[in-house]
Amino acid sequence: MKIVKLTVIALMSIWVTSCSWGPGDLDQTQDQILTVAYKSPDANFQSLKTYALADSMSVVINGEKKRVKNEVSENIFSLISQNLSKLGYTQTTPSQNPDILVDLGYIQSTNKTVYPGYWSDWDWWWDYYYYPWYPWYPYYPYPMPTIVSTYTTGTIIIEMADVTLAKDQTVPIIWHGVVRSILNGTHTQAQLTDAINEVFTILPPK
Amino acid sequence: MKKIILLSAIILSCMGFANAQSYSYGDNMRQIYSINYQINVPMGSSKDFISNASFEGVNFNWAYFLTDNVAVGMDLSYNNYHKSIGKEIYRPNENMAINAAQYRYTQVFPLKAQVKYFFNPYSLVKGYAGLGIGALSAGQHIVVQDLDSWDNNWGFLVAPEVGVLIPFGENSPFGANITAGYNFSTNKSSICNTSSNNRQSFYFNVGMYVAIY
Repeated sequence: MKIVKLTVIALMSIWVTSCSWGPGDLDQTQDQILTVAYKSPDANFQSLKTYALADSMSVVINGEKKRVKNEVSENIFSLISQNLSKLGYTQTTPSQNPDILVDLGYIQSTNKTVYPGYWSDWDWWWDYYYYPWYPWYPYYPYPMPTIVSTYTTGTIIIEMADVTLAKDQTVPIIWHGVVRSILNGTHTQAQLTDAINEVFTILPPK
Repeated sequence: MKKIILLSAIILSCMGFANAQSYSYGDNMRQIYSINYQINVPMGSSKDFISNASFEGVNFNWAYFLTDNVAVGMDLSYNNYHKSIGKEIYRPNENMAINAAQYRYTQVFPLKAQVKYFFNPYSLVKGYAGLGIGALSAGQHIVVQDLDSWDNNWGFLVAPEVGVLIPFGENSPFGANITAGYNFSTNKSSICNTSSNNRQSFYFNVGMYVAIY
């Protein structure tokens, strides 16, 4: 009888302890950096020559949105600028009628699933530069899956809008780069630089 | 789910223990209950999704003898496959690119009715060959960070197997069960950039049985 009990205990122990279930799976990939890039199939990148950067970034903290300008935003805008210059674009200011406007979103933390455009705060362009198409709504001329869920923090979103196609108070986003969880406190400056460069490399806005 | 399986295992075992009191060696076996640790080695297109063998499996089997040589019964298994894949660029179409590490896992539940033929029912060690027909449920997942893409599918299952029962002693209704078999099911799946038309695997069971006379 003893051997029976031991066999049962051994079998059950092997089975129970060797299984990995549900939430544990998250541990396998959450520390990895995930970069995603989307490009509008209708965009004519060859005709676009100049771009202007936003002077601040949209930050989402538990559903609250605000524009912020700090070392982090300056650092990321600098990396974006380097990548766009490599691709042949020339930087101008918003008042010089650029072909492209580049905005930056930062989901610091969220308490709900975030869909495309949630972080967008494009009204600020009107506030600062008096563009004539206020209120100005960006749209995505391509399908977009969910970007950020309640589990994700520290995600960067880079948006490029084609101002030459602005119509009826809307402007299309022609390229969109996402670096998930890069600013969650576990990554280095070198990893941030690599990730920003990567998102422009895997699908260049060109 | 884990609790249900555990509870089923305990109930099944208790049934066997309770009914086993009246056995006497030499009588024909009427029923066999077994619980087994199961290993699965993926084959065919299942291997394309996750090439690693599954060492996380359990199997429950019940056999009822119609004659000295022939038994029919039911067989239920659970196994979990998983594999980590390093960072790769994935392009769903020409206008989208994702660079990420993946964690893939598949949870499989084969359920089948079985018929077994025992070659030497009066020997101490009993060998048998069987054929199972039933259904197989598979849940395939690709996890990237907290993003989980999955496909749950069902298929028709055919599973030939061979096995042997080795009693712990001459007068013992308890013994070891060793089985090897092959699952072939018609599950079709499509998840992200992967697809398959069926599921196949070699499986190996090692466990314990209780016989009821």
